[in-house]
Amino acid sequence: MMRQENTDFGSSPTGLPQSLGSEIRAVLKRPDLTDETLLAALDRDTFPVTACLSLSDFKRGLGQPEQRLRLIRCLAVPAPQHGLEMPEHDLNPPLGVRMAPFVRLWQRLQPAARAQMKQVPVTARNQ
Amino acid sequence: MSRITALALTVIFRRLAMLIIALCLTIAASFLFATVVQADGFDWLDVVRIALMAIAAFWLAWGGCIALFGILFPPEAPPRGPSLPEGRTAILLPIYNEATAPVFARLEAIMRSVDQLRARDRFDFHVLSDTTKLDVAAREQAAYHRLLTKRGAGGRLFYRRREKNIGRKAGNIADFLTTSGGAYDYMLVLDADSLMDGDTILEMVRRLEADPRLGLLQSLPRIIGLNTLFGRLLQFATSLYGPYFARGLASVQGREGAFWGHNALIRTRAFAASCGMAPLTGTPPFGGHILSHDTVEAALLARDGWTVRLDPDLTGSYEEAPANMVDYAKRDRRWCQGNLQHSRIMAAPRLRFWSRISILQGIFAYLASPIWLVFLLTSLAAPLVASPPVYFDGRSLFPVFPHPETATALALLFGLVALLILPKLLLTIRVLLSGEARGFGGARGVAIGFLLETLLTSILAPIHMMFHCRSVFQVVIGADSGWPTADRDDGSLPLTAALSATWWMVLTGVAAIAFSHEYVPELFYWLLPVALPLVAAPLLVWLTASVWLGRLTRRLGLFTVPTDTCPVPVADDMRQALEEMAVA
Repeated sequence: MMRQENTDFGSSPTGLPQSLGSEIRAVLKRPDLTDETLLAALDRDTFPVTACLSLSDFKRGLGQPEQRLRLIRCLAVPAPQHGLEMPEHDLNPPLGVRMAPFVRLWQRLQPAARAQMKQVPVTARNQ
Repeated sequence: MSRITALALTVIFRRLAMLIIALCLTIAASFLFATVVQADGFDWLDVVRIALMAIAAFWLAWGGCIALFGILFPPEAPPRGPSLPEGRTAILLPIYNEATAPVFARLEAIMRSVDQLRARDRFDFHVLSDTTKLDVAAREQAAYHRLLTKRGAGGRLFYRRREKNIGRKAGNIADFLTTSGGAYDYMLVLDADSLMDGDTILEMVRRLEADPRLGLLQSLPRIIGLNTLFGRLLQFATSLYGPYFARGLASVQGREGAFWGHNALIRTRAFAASCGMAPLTGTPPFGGHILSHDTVEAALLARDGWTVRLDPDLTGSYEEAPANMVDYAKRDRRWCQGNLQHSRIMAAPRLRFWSRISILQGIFAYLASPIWLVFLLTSLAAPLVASPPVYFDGRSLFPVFPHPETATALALLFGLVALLILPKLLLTIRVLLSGEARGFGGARGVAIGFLLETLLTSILAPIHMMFHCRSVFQVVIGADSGWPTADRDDGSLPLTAALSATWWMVLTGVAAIAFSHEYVPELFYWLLPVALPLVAAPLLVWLTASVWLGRLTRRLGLFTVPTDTCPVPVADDMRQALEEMAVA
C-alpha cells in the first residue's frame, strides 16, 4: 500500500517535513539528529540509489513502509556527538615536578627532625 | 583472605619464582663463560664479554621461563556478565592509507558475524580514517556507502576522516573519544588487518561487564591468511607456541596486563580519563608523539587502578601479519622506534612496578640484537688483544700450560642452545600430550613442523638480528621512521627487492668470514652459522617470500595450523566479500 503524500513541509524552519524527520530518527534510534544533519544525509550526492524509490518520492512520504525502512537504513548519518574529556598526562615531567613528592616529604620531616629546644620558648633573662 | 589478595600474592610469588630461575640460569651461564674466557688470561675485553653474555643469557632465560609458566599455570575461568550486555560498544577500525577493498571486506565479515547475535543492536561500527592520500580517501568513501547500503547499516556504521593525522593512531582514537566516546560504554579497537568473530566480541563484553574494575581486556589474535613460506612459518609458530607464551605472560602480569593495540575491548570512560598522553618534549625519534602507545596506555590504566588483562582463551580473534622478512623488518623498524622512545617514560610518575617491567621488556626486545652483535664482535677481537700465554711464571722450572676449557665451553654452548630450543620443545610435547596435535596435522605434523621451524628460524635469526641492529642504530642516530604503509598483497618479493634490502648483510657476512679466516682462524667454524646466512640473505629473504613454496608446504602437510583444517567462518565471509567487491 502506498503511503499518503507528505504535505507537512512548513513545520520545520529548515524545510524538512517534521514527520519525515521523526520517522528517520525513530528508525535509526537517533533522537539527537538535527534537521540540518538529516537534510545533509538526504543530499542527492549521498542519497542511496535504489530502484524502488527516488529522493523526491521519499521526501514526499511515498513508497511502501518496507521500502522506506530499507532506504532510511541506508542513510549515512554522522556518529553521535557525545564527547568525553580526555586530559593529557605528562609522562616525562621536569625533574622538579617529579621530585616534588620527595621535596614535600622532606619539608614535612624537617621540623620534626630539628632539635626540640628550638621549639621551646626562650625564658627571659633577668637583666 | 579475600580472593583479590590471594590472587595478588600468587602473582607476586610467580614473579619472584620467575626472577629467581632466570637469575640462577644467568649466573650459571656467566660463570661457565667466565671460566672459558679466562683460560688464556683475563683482560678488560673479557669483562665486557661476560657482561654482554649475562644480559643476553638473562633475556633468553626470561623467555624460557614465560614458556614454562605457560605450561605450569593454565588460566582461570573468568567471571561472565549477562548473556545480553547492558552497555553499548563501538567497534573501531582506525585506518591509514590502507588497501581499501580488504579493509572493508574484513569489516563486512565482522558486521555479518555481529549481526547474527541477539545483542546486535548494542554494537556500532566506526571507520576512523586518517588517510592522507585523496584517491584512497575517495575509494574509502565509496566503499563505505556501498557497505552501508548493502548491510542497511544506517545509524550503526559511521565513517569519518581526519585530514591531519595528529597523534597518529592514538590521536585517531582520542579524536573518536572526544567527539563520540560518551555514547558508548566500551570500545573494541581493531587494526586494519584485524578480524573478529561476533561471539568472541560478545564474550569479551560479558567479561568486561562482570568485572567493574576491568578496564581493558586483550584477546590473543591468531595469525591467518598468509601463503608465503615465511608467513606459514610464522603462522605455525604463533599457533603452536603463542597460546602458551601468552598464558605464561598472563600468569605473571596480574592486574597489569598487556595491550597490543588491537583486538582488545576497552572501557571508554576509563580510557578517556587515564590515557591522554601529552607529546614528549623534543623532536622524534625520542620526542614528539608517543608511537607505540599501546604499552603506555596499559600502564596508564593500571596506574589509575584499572585492571588490564590478557585472556589467552579468547579464540575467534585474528590478524594478518607481514608475509615476508622485509615487510616484517619494516614493521619492526616502526615498533623499535616506539619501544626505544619508551626509555623516556620508564620513570613516569606513579606507574606500577610491573608496567615498568613491561616497558623495559619492550625496549629490551630490540636491544637484545645489538647486544648479541657486540658480543660476537668482541669475541672476534678478543684473541687479538689477549696477552700471549706465560709458560714460565718463575715459580717452577717446568712450563705451565693453560688449562683447556673445552668441556666447559661445550657445556655453555649446549646450555644456551637448550635455553633457545627447550621452551619450544616443552610446548611441542605439551601439545602432543594434550591432544591438540590434530589441528597441526597430527603428531607427525607437529614433530616435523617443530624440527623444520627450529631449523629455519635458526637460519633466519642472524638476518633478523641485523635488521634489528640497523633499526636500533637508525633510531639512536636520530632518523625518524615515520609510518610507512604496510604492504599487504600476496607478500611475495622480487629477487631485486630482497637484494636491495639485504646487500649490506652480504658485505658484513663476507667481511666477517674473511676477517675470521685471516686473523682468528680458531673461531672460523664457530662464526659460520651466523655469517653464512648473512651471505645468503638475499636468497633466503627471496625464497621465504615465495608463495609457491608456501603452497608447496601446504600440499605436503607441513606447517599445518588448525585454521587450515577447520575453516574460520569470519575469514570465509571476508574472502567472499572481497570477491563480491572485485566483481562489482
